[in-house]
Amino acid sequence: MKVVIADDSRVMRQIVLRTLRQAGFAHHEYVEAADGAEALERIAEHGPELVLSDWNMPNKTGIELLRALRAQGNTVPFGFVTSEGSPEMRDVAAQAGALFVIAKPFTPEAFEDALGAVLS
Amino acid sequence: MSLLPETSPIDDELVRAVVDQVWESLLGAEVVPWYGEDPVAPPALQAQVTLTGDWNGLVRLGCAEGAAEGIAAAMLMAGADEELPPEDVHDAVGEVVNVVGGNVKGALLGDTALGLPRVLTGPDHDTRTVAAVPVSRCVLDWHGLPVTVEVFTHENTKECRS
Repeated sequence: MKVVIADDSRVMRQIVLRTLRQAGFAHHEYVEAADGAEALERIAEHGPELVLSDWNMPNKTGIELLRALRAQGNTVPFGFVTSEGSPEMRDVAAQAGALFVIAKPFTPEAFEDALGAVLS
Repeated sequence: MSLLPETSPIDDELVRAVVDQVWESLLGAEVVPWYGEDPVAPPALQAQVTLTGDWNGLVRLGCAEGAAEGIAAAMLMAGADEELPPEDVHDAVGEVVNVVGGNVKGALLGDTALGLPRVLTGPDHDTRTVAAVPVSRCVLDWHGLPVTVEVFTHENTKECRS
């Protein structure tokens, strides 16, 4: 399966990738994007089975990315990996169509719990 | 002595709990308090993120470049002799302050937005901190180098805490 990882921090993308491997998801193909606008392009290009996105990013935020995808009719499973995990943000994410919100700092177990049903 | 005004929605205990969690999860390290001389001079590197809205303030991490390099190496699990590019070092400490800021925001009620992290080095100076009131400060020991984590607020902040 293909997974797009969108985060404006290259270091954080590396940590997300490492944590995915630790959580048992090493065998998937991962495509990186440095912001929401780039992620939109990568998603159109690769047709991933899952998108993992930061919330706060330049050019296009994570929630703007999700809304743009849904406006295009793209129903790709979408989850946030973000430093903000407030109940209000979780509500906004769910209403926009996100499957889950993983809050930073995270553990491999958080990825196992959130992604298991999508990537298994 | 606490730097906290009595009405502050953010306190040392909250910030220290967030820092403990970030250090453990992101850096794979335990927080060690700094027992050396208080670093009063402006640090060589400052990573900061703003909070704006019902609560207005700034979360700032300050340290020497050497400590930032060590923090980045820990985040990336880099080898002892692996030299990381400066952009990765700044990216890493920016993410640390971003995660601390996001978790500080999580303790607030109301509508407050987290900005994007910025990293300043050398003679850079952030005027946004000039009129700010310090509400929390801790100094940590990163392998013999001090690392300060500070939260400032601005006067037009409304009180709100979950």
